[in-house]
Amino acid sequence: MSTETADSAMLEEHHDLPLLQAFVALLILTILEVLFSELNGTIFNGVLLTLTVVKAIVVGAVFMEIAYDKETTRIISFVFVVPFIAVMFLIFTIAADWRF
Amino acid sequence: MQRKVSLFAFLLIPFLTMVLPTSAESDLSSSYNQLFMLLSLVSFAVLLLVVVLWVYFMYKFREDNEEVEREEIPHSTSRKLEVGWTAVAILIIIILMALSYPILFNETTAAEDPSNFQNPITIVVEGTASWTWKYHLPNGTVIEPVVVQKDAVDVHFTNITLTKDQAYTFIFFNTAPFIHSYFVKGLNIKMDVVPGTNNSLTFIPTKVGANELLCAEFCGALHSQMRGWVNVEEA
Amino acid sequence: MDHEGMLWKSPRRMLGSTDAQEIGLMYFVLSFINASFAGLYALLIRFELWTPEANYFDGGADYGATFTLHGTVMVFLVIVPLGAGMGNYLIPRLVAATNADMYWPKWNNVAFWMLPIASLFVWMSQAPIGWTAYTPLSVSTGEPGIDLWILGLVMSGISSTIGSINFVLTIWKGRDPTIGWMDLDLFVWGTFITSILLILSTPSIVIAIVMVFFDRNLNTAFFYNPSAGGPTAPIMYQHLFWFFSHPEVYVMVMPAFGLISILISKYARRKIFGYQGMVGAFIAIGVLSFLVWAHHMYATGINPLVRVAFTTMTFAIAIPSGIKVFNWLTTLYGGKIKFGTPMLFALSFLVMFTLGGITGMYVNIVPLDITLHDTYWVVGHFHFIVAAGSLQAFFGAIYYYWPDMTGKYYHDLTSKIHFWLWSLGNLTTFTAFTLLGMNGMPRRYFTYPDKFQGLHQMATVGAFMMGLSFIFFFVSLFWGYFKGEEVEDYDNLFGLGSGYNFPPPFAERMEEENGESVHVEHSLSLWAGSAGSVLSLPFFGFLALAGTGFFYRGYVKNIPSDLPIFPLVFMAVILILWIGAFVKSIGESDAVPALFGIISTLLAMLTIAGVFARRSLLGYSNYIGLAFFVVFLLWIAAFFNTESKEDKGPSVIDQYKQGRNWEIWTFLASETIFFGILIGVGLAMRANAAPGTWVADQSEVLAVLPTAGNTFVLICSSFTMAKAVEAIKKGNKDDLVKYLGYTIIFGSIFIGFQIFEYINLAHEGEVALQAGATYPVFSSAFYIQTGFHGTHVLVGIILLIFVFLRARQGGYDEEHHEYVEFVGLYWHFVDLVWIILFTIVYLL
Repeated sequence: MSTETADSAMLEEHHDLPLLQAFVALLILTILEVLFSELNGTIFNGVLLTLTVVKAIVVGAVFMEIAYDKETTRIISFVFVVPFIAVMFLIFTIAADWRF
Repeated sequence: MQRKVSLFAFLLIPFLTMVLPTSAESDLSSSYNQLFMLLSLVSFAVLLLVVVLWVYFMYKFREDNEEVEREEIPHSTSRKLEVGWTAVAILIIIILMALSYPILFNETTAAEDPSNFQNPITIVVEGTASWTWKYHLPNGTVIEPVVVQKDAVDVHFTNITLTKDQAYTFIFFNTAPFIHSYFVKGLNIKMDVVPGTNNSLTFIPTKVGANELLCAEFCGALHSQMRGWVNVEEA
Repeated sequence: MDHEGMLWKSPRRMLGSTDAQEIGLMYFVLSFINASFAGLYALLIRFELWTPEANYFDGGADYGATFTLHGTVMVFLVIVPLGAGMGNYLIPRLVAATNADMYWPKWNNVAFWMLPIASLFVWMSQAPIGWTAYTPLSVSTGEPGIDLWILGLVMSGISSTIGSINFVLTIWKGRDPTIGWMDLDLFVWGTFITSILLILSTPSIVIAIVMVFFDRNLNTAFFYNPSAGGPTAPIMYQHLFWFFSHPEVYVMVMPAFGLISILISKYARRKIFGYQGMVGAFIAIGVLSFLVWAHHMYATGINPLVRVAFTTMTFAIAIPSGIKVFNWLTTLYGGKIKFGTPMLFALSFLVMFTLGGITGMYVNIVPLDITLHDTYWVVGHFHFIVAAGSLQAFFGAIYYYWPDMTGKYYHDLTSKIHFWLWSLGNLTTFTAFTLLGMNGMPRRYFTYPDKFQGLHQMATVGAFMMGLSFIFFFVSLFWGYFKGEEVEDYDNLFGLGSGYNFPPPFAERMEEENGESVHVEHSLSLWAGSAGSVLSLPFFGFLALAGTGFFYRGYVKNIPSDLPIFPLVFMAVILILWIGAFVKSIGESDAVPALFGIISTLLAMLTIAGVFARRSLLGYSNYIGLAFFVVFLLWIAAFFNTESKEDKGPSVIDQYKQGRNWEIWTFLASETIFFGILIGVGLAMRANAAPGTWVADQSEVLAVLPTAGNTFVLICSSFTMAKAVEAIKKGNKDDLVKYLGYTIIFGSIFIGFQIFEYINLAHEGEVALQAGATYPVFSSAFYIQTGFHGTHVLVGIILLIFVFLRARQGGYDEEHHEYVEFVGLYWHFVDLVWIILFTIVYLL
């Protein structure tokens, strides 16, 4: 029984990750970001932030293999979403209480 | 869906009326004391219940007691109990909220809504870096601290006299590298005096007498020695 | 236990044990040593307050150190370690862990051995700022001990984070698969939720106190900076501090809840009433504990709507706490109650905790908080909960498990005297506190208006009763150990008709059900023991450097000029242990870490003596400080070289675990909070910066384009890291080595550029921290964000070097390469953070 468990644990499915495509995407996005940062204005800032988030998602989904994991939802919820919400609560309160 | 909306509105409206600022009472002491008394009543009731059950169960179900029937609590009863006491707890909390929220704003609302107070006199209260209080009166005078030797310790007293039924706005000011807190229990006021910001407070003293001023935020070596008297006299 | 008594005779075992039960015992010993001294400090406080005169202290300064240390030590070095100790002692058996130990046995040892050093730092500090260390007082107070206090707490925070991850993994992934979540003992649930709280909240206080350290030593302007105009944002400290410290108070009480559940159900001979409700209450408390922190700040003048939000959440959290009391009471119904000493403590807990909860309700009502905040009312409230609550639960549990620890019963009569003295003392003192607060007596006073004297004297009498009861506690336990009645029947402990009833151990169950033998080994690891000490070396290094003004603004005044005897004696004891361990290890590979243990302890003693005695050593402290970092790196090199050569076959963990990446994911959740707060605070500072203090266009002061290139370098390193993992998953060992090598190179380029950038910026003087720099607030945010990120990259490079060297030796293959994936996930996460940081700091 132990060998069966061991086998099923060890032999993860080998996905062929699109590593090179992700890398190129990140490169292009970074160049776009630097270009957009030259422009000022809220819309451009919004675009900039969106590009950043997309980059972060690419790193997470492809390099960290979150998109290919068995427990994608759990990882995203407990490692990113829940902590993010907690931090938002803190930062929002700090900002609302700023008096200096 | 309809029922949910109306239930929500049913709860929201009283909540909002509780929470939004109301006209500030001129003497907050009586409402504070009433709230304190009420909470004490509720707390005492809860404590009594806990202690009575505690003593009763310890006595009735002690090991030596052979006569008592030791039955399992049936599942339906235990469900009812748990739901029941949770509901009661929630109810008590709601009542406490309802009673305390209206005066929740009175700490500083009075300063935000000074139309309730006629012509408040503005005094700047300074907490200093040498652990003393100073009052800067509108006419330019500054009330300075007096050092008194008390129990072989140097205590800094700064005394001010206020007029009964006159509104005052205290603006707090601090250039020291630590926070003080202006605490006068007799007047139900406490406000942190934070360097870099100016908290303020408006109130009307309604009782003649002497009230002790104590610093209520640890500010270093002479924290215990930073005091004063706020005397209220007839007009 | 099969090796009772031998633990304390064997330095090798004490320093190197990876066995959870032994480590649990060591946690207890450390906690009670700390508690004894912190208790003595409490008695000093109460003695001083017998009259308004100065009875012992000359004034407020030394008095400040006394109450600060009493609070800090009791919170961080007594109650939390007692919870960790009890968890270590019980949880592997309560969950029938597959390896009959904690999930990471060696990290368990590391986490423990960081605490004696952390205790040392805190005790040496004699910091006089209150355990809450509010700014600007903590920034502007010149006492150098404050920096020690900060470093000590950061160490203890790291220790408890490692421990918490260990508990989460043990309970979640390490338990016997046939035990379901809803079969777990309530103590396990309590520790589980506690651990999650610690993992998610600790980053907040680390950031808060490190910011204080930076404000004190590096001229940053987070909270207070004289050259930047004085106070910048002192209240922000309170938010960051309480965001951690509120969950911390639940951390202190939830393990106790679990223990009370065990004791009441055992001594009443009933199953706990409403198990599901109790679990639900734990979860509710855990979640809500993050949403109530600003109830400590009602008197600071905060926005009234913010006050409403927090009052509401705090009312909500009262409900699950309250209903637990009724669940416990109902457990007594229909029971057959035996009033053994553990039960007396548990029963007393019910009332004391209720009193604590009730006093807490008052201060949540904002109008009442005005009179009660920062008075003895609050002191009464938290002492009812923590001393008359938590600590009491630990007393009860230690008595109950004493037969398990020693094979003997404690001495019954002295234990009862302990209980009654303790309880009467509690009631006397804490009621006096509550009444003092009701009458308006403020906290942290060493002299007071005469009218309070009577109640202060009442409190002092109670305190000495509690102090005396402690003696009976130790007498009862040790008399029992040396001369007590031996346990005859483990299935009828204390005449209860039952034993401890741990679930059948995993190995036994596998043997019975499947005929399969699971080999479980508890190995000694002096590497782990020395890691605990060696990890403290960078902290000593910072201390030595800070003490000499190596940073911009070190506080060197007021250092006492005599040798600190107690710290040196304490370190000498540890030195003797290491020497003992070394002597027993000569000829084995264990001798190397033992040598490092000796070296690090000696170096530590040297710093303590040198910095404090102001010998000419102080002139060389810079070099000594840097030497610490060098020794630390040497340890890493030696660890890698010596340890990895031993062939380790697949461990039990490998055989029964599926998908081990959760070990790193759990840690990364904490890192999300850490960097989230850093970035968020930066944004808040930016949004509220006074005009002229924040840079309008970063490209004018920062080298945006070159840094974009550096960002590309880091992305390349992430790419090569991913290729490395892909390679080893296909069994390609050569490519693994190649890609790991590239990753290290790219990472090093990144760091090199960052150092170059820092030097340039300091030179230009705009984004810099020396006095007279143009943008102090922007610079503070800039350096703390990029600096912490850079430190994470550096740690990543060190880890990569480990993995690289092991890969070169062929240590990984297609089936066994977890550590490559772990380091990979960490590295990608650090890259991810940089992607966000770069945009926010350099581009937006």
